[in-house]
Amino acid sequence: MRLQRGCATVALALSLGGCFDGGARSRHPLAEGDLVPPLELTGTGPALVWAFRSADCLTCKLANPAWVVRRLHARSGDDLETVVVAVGETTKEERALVEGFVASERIPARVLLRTPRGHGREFGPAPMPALYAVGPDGVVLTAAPSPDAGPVVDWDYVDVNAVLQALWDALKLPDDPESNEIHPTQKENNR
Amino acid sequence: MRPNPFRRSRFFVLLSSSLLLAAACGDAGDAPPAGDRVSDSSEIDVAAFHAGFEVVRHLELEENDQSRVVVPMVAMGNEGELLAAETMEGQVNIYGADDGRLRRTLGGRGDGPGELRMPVSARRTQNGSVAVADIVQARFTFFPPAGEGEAEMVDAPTTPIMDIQHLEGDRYLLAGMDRRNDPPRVLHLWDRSTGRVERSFLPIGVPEESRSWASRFAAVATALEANTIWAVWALSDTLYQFGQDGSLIQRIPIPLPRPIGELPGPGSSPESRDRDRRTQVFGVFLLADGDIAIQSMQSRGRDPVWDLLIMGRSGVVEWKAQNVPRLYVVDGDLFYFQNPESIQPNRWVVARRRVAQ
Repeated sequence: MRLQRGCATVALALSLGGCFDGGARSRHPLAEGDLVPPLELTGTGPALVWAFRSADCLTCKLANPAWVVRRLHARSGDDLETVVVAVGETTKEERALVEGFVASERIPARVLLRTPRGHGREFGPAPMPALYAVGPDGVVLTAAPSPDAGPVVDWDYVDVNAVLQALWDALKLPDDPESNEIHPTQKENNR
Repeated sequence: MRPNPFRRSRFFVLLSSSLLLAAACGDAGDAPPAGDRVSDSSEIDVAAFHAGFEVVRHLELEENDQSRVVVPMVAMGNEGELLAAETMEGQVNIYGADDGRLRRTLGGRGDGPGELRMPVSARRTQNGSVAVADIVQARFTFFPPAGEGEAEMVDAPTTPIMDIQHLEGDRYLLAGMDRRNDPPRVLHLWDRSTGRVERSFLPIGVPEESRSWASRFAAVATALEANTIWAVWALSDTLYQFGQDGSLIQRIPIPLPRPIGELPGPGSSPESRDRDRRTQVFGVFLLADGDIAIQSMQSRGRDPVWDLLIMGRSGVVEWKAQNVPRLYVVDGDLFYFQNPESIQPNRWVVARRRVAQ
């Protein structure tokens, strides 16, 4: 009985995905409505997943997505579980490099390492850098940039304010109670 | 408006290990930077710091959901205010120097009018505007005093641009390495009304065989005093004084706490080319008593170490120490340091020198 069910699952996966690789996606990038890969999320609330190549110039290539993540944390009073998926060499040095970068950006996040192959298995041919809002049930609420944006995205040309708002709306986080009132500086802001 | 990728890539080559990466002084420890983290202080010589300085008060720069302190480049403004060009946030935050309260923000992330990408300097002009140098946009933005019109954007005449200070009238002092000159020059007198650079000066004084390597160190700092300009450049252990026309007045050797060392040339070992462990002169501050403070640093990846030297105008060392907290700005006899007990960049201490009786 179990065997039959397993075969049925495999057959379904083959028919839908076209290619079955240990239960992984390989042709379709992770997108809204998909179950997020196993990233040890606590599931106690919404979460943010940030995937990028660790071999990239972190400070220059990730300045815009880092700003989005930092703003989400600032708005939520840091009450947002964030997982960084660093794609590259899964070495101790790589971890230190990425953790140092994340810390220097003042982003509280847990860092996971993935090989490019491992990332491909879990996220499919997804763009990078990419941000995913994930619900407490592990379902992707929205992804930025769009999953069909291609494998490499230059965030210099991404409307970061729109991305910030889309992620914020998807995550539905409570505002930081200390930031609820309109700050006087915002009234004077020259923007 | 789209950013200029050419300018951007050049900038990051030039700055790859000096200013911004080094100034991003987070601790790369195991734990994420949540809440009230405390520095491990392993690289800060707290005893030496307290031997040289008396902490007057603690200062916490206010943060809210629209402004965080990440990598601030700080200057004193008018009326007891601190101007912090927040490089990673794309905005300028103006704080009260006495209470750290956020008074106003300027800019915002983007490339549109009045928006900023990576501001590296913000300074008051003589008419009360705030002039901001953005190294990624390669332009200046002039924010008028609150409620007095729109921001004005002007393309920088040279890239990368690191600083802009108002001299008088339409004349400004610009800092940033212009490699169109041979050797490259790091200071420029600019006429805003004509858009022309009147004069470029302070050539990087390194042997030709080291020039290509050395020209990647873009940090340059200046301080104005009456009608003179004090200046330091990353890989020169010399303090320069110029007239406001760019003419050299004097050079004063800087006995750095940690020497710069011999610069690499062709065939030098990879170790000698390691920028992370190369001492760079980073800041010059004029003190109320006439002395001059020089800050230097090594970037050490993302864990920079900072040194401080205080010397008289004849070059006599008054005090120096390695591994002190980062000094952000000096106002009169008050020194604004990163709090040596914290790695949160918005937690500072205000200190005075301990003067030997």
